[in-house]
Amino acid sequence: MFCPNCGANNADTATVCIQCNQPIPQFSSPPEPPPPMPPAPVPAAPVTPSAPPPTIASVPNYLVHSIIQTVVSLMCCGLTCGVGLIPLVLAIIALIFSAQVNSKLGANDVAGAQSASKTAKLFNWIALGVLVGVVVVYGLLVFFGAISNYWEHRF
Amino acid sequence: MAVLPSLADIESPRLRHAIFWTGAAFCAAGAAVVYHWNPEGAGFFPACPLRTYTGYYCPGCGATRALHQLLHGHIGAALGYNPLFVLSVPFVAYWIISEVFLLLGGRALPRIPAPDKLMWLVLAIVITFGVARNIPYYPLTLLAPH
Repeated sequence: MFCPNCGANNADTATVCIQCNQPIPQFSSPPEPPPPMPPAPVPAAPVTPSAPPPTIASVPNYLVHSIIQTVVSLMCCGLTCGVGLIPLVLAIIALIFSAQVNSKLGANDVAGAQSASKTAKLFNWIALGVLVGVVVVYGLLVFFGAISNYWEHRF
Repeated sequence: MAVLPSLADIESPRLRHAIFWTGAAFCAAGAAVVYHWNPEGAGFFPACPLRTYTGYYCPGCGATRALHQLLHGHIGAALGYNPLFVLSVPFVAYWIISEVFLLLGGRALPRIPAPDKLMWLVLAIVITFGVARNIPYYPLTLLAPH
């Protein structure tokens, strides 16, 4: 399995990454690595694979995903405008819920944060699906345009 | 520490490889078409609806034309079409190279850190750039595609 922190390829049974020494969660993992460890290289820090209690690190906010999708939707306006800005709207909804995760954790509302996290994840997946669909349709349009252009100039 | 998404986040090796090869084929075909035809005047690149109907530039306007110039090594012309896109190229290139290393080389390069504050800054830069390139006064007109 790959380390969620640095991406190094580890043995499936590994609990600590061979490259960055970060703990590797054993079950399907959120993109955020769980426990905050001191950034200095600590020699042989003991790592327990037990699930930590709900803290800021254990409720993923998917903010990175939400903002990347918002930025891509903005930058690919030629694609997103063509379908009524749907991917942009979905990405912004995901971004709003992502931002709520941290504010609700700050207010000690763990259940609310987990709910916002789930909603952010859901809208991120829908936005990604729509965006990929639009990019594929756009790509096919350009590709067939290119092919017909090629044949026109050939004969 | 939050990092940029990667295929390493996907547990199933089969799914990871399927996504990688589909994406690679799509990118290769896209790069070949954008290399061979200049989107400026090729006629078959669909025009941006926002630009056509409102006359405004979005933050990505000129990115395809900039990519065409970049693939031919014309960095100055590419900067004229979309400077923000050109600035993002090293980061995207590193991300692509690290995905290729991960899937084909079997070892991973360090992942790009993406703390929340940095991501908000990126969003702010993109929105500011999108607004600024639509303001028709001299230094800012350089940001519009030309």
